[in-house]
Amino acid sequence: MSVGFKAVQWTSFKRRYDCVLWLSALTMTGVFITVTHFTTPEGESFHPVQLVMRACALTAFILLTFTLSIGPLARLSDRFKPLLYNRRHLGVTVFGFGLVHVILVVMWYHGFSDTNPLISLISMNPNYNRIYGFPFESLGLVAFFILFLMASTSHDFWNDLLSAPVWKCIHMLVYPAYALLVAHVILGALQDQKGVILALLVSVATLWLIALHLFTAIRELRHDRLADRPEVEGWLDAGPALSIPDGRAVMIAVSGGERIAVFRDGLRIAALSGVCRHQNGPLGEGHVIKGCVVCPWHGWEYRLEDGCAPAPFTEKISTYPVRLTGDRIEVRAAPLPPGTRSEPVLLSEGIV
Amino acid sequence: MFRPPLHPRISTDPFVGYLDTPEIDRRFLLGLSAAGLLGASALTAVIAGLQRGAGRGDWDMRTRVSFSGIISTAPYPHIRVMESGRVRTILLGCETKCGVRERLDAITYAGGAATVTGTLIERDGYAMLAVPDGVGWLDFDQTAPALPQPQIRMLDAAVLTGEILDAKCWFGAMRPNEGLSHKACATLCIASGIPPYFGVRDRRNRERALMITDTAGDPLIDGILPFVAEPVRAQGALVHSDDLIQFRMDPETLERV
Repeated sequence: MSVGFKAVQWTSFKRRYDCVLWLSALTMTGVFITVTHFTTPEGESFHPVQLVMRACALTAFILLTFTLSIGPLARLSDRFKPLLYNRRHLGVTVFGFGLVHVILVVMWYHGFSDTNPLISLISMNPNYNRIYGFPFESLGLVAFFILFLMASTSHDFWNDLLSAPVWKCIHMLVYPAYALLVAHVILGALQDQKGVILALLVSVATLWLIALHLFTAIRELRHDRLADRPEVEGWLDAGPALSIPDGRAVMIAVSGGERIAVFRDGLRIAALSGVCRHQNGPLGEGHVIKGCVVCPWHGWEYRLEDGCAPAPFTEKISTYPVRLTGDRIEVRAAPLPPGTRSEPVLLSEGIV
Repeated sequence: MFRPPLHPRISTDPFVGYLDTPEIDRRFLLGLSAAGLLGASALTAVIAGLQRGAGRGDWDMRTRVSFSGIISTAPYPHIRVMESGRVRTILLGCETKCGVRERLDAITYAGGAATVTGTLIERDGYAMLAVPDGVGWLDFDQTAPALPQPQIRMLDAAVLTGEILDAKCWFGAMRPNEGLSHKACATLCIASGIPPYFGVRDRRNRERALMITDTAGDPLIDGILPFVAEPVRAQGALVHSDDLIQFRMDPETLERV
C-alpha cells in the first residue's frame, strides 16, 4: 500500500526475493559464458561482446518464461502466491538483461559507421515480405519497447495515476511481447543453430505457457459458473453462513457481473468487491487478519465493514449489504459506493 | 441449494509479504529456489555446450604492424606485399565499419609504393589491415620493394552456391560472423565500403572466400545487398589474381537457395 507516492518500501522478504533472483540470473549468465568458453572448438571462440549478448538474451528469455508462469501457478496453489509479491522486480530484471542485449546488439552490429545505429537496425535488412531472412531484429525491438513501457510504469505511482484497469491493460502487453520474442528467436538465432536444443527450449517454453494459461482459464471459468447466483428481488444467495470458512471468503457473482467476496471473520460476515484496488488482485482469495481483508497478491488491506484501507491509507472498494435469512447469507446485488459502511451480519455465539 | 465454497481449504498460514513468511512457504520457496537455480544452470549449460563454434579468425587490436608494398584501390583498396618470395594481398579498411577508398582517392600517389600501418585481422591466410584515422598510417616510400605485375589468370565460368560475407567481420573482426543473425551487420559493413566476399566450401569441404566483383572486375555493392548473409547461388567467372580468387559475379543471376 502507499501513502501518496513514495519510494519502494523494502521488506526482508523482498530483499531475500531479490537476492535469489539476482543470484539465479547471474548464475545463468555466468554458466553460459563459462561453458561456452570451455566447449567451443580450439581457435573458434566467441568474441566476448557477442558472448555476453547471447548470455543476456538467454537469461532474459528464461526469466520471462518463469515470470509469466507465476500468475497461473498462484491460482492453482497458494504456495506460489509469495512469488507474486515481488513479481515486478522479476519483470524489471528481465528488462535489465534485455537492455544489455539490445545495447550490445545496437552498438556492436550497427554502431561504428556513419549510419545512425537505430536507422541501421530497422533498415539494413528490408526483407519484410519474406519469412526466411525476415528482419527479426524489428520484432525484438518492438518487444523491447513493450518491456521498457512496463518496467518504467512498474512503480505504484503509475498504477495510482493511471488507475488499476488501465495499468493492468498496459502490463497485459507482456503477452504480445513474449510472442514477439519467440518469433524473434525463431527467425533469428534458431536459423543459425545446427542443434535442436534451442528450438526445444523455445517450443517447450511456449507450449508450457499456453497449456498453463488455458488450464487455469478453464478452471477459473468453472469457478465463475459456480459463483453465478440468480438474483431474487435484488438479493443473491451466498449459501449457509457456516459454509464460509473462518477468515476466508466465498465468491459469488451476478452472471457476467463483478465478483463479490463474502468474508467471515468469526461471528461477522460482510461482502466486499472481489477485486483489489491495487492491481485487480483476487481479493476473495485473501484472508481476514485483525478485522481487515488482506489481498493475497501484495497485502493491501480493507476494513470488513466499510471497504476502506486503514489509516493512513486512503484506498476504498465497494461494499455490499448482507442479511441473514434462516441460516443462509444473502447479499444485495447492487454495490454501495466505495468506502460506504455496511453493517456486517452478526452470527449468534451458539452457531459457530 | 447448498453450494460448496470455492475456497474450502482453511489455511491458517496466509502469506503476507510484509509479515513473517510462514514456515510452509519458507520451505517451499527454499526448495523452489534451489531447484530453479540448478535447473536453470543445467539448461543454460546444455544450450551453451551445444552451440556451433564462432568461426576462426582474429583481430589483434593491441599490436600495430606495418607492411611495405604497392597499394591499389582496384577493385577494392589493398596492398600487395612480398612475403617469403610470394606476393600476398592484404585488404585495407579502417578501424570501424568503413573502407579507405575515399581516403586513398584524395591522395595523389605515384606508383603506389608505400608503407601502411595498422592492426591485422587474419583468418586462414586471408588478411585485412585496419588502419587508424588521421594521416599517420600511410607513408609513401619509394624504397618499397619492387613487385611483379599482378599475375591474372582467367579460370572457368562457374555457378557457385554460398553466402555473401563482409570481409572484415569474416576475417575475424566478429565471431560469429555469418548467418542470418549477422545479416544486418554484414549488409551495413558492405554498404559502408568493406569488400564483399563469397563464402563457399571446396571439394574437400574447406572454407574458401572469394572476392566478389562485377563481370568486369569492378566493385560490386548495390546489386548484392539484399542477398547478404543468406544461402544464395550465382553465376560468374573465377579469376586468379596473385593469391586471390575473384568471383566475377553477374548479379542478375543471384537467387536464394
